[in-house]
Amino acid sequence: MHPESTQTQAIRYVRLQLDAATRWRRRESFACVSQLGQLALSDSELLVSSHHLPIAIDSGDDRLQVVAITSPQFQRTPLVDADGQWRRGYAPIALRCLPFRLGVEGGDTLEIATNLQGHATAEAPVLDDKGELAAEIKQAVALLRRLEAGKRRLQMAAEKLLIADVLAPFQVMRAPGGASVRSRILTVDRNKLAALSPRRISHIARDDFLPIDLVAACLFSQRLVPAPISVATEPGAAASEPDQPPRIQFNANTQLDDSELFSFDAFVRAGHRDD
Amino acid sequence: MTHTSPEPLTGLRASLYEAVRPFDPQDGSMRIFAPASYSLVRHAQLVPVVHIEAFSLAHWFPLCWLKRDGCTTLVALRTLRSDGSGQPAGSPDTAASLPLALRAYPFVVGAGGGDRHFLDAAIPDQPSDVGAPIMTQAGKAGPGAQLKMQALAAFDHALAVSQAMTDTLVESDLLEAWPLDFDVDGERVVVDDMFVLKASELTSVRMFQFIEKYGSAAAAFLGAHRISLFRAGSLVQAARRTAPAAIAAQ
Repeated sequence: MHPESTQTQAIRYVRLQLDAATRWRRRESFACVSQLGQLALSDSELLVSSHHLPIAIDSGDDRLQVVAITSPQFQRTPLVDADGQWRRGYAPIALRCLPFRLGVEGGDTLEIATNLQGHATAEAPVLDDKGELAAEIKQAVALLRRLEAGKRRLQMAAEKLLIADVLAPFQVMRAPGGASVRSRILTVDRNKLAALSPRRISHIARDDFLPIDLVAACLFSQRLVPAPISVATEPGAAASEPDQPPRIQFNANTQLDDSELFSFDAFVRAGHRDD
Repeated sequence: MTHTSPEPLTGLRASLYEAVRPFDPQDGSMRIFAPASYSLVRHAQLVPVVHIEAFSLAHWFPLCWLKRDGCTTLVALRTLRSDGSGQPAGSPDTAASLPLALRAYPFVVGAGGGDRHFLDAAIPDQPSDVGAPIMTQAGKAGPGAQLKMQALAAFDHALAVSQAMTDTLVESDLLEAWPLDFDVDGERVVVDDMFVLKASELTSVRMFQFIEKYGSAAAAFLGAHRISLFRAGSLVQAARRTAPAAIAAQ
């Protein structure tokens, strides 16, 4: 279930050797996104990404990481076309920088995926004539550094939401009427959020609005997830407390979705019947 | 400090509706039509919205505030063009793209109270079907009317809180002007009087007080507003597709 469950086996990264003999190839398609399963996000791309990809919080590996899910089972429509071309309006930094990434152990080590490089793309040297990083790689490194800083800020925002207990896992129903399997991928449970007191939510946003943006991005992008996947919500968590002022709820009767509110067929049928 | 109007939607209603009149029992035989049958539904540039529809509309349009005639109103900006052309692909034909105020049309949002309703005396210039009377012969609202009344009720129920939030944002100086002035293939396209959340105040004491007053749904609403602003690029692209030069080239 975990979108990244096969990532470490499927994609092999090695430290990039910075010498004149090392060469690399640009990736020729984005078909690898399904292998990746998820992409770490920077805070600067959180809101725009939520228009195109499900935003979630990976709770594995003893730390939280805000990600855009690229696993096919989490998509209503494919992310790439038959030629491997990206079909969304925004490509996250981590995707644009492939086959490069910064070392997972931190620091500034540049790694390259040995099996994500194209076969038909031109081979290029890692260093230029002056012995410096080639311009294209230099640009990728700058982006990856920005990504690392943004990842850390989002991690802190996610920690605030975890402490506030507004997160819940995605779950997948394997068969109609069957049991659901819970994921380690978390999103915002709107019932838990509604149950959070105004005082507590205001303190979450006191020094940093990013947790609020993360709440919105998670809720907003839930619409992108197909039906077999749902949020393991806690029913009844939004029950009102007598001493609290009436809260603004995501009222089930007024929450809109993508279904047709106005049925032309029903409308016409009713019109003929009542005439 | 800007003073807001005591009555919501004042700044927008006059430009949105043509001839508002009270709904009375004799109007029950009046035929109403699917939303897109009406010119206003297809062409309104600015439509009043309420916070409960922010997450569903953020996918389509920027949600921002219009300051006009001393009143500040939360609106969906559907196009940069005042004639209503140049909406994002799928709008207005996709029902999900329609704000509650347009789903309710020709019923007028934000005008009634209790059982009092108002109608805009508009003629459907592009009816997709024969329509249906508002009331059945049994004296009940027909299915089409019920759907419109649901949208109307949802809007009106949320309006007081939505407008209170808007007024607090204005009084707390948490909004800033959003200049929309584009050169679209040599043509200047401008939308005046639009406001968005002031980015520099997101962690201010006044923002803290706003969230403390209105709670988690209001906080999430502000996030949805910020997400929706990324739809501005789609509006520019749509405006480019409907530029005179682009149309002439087709």
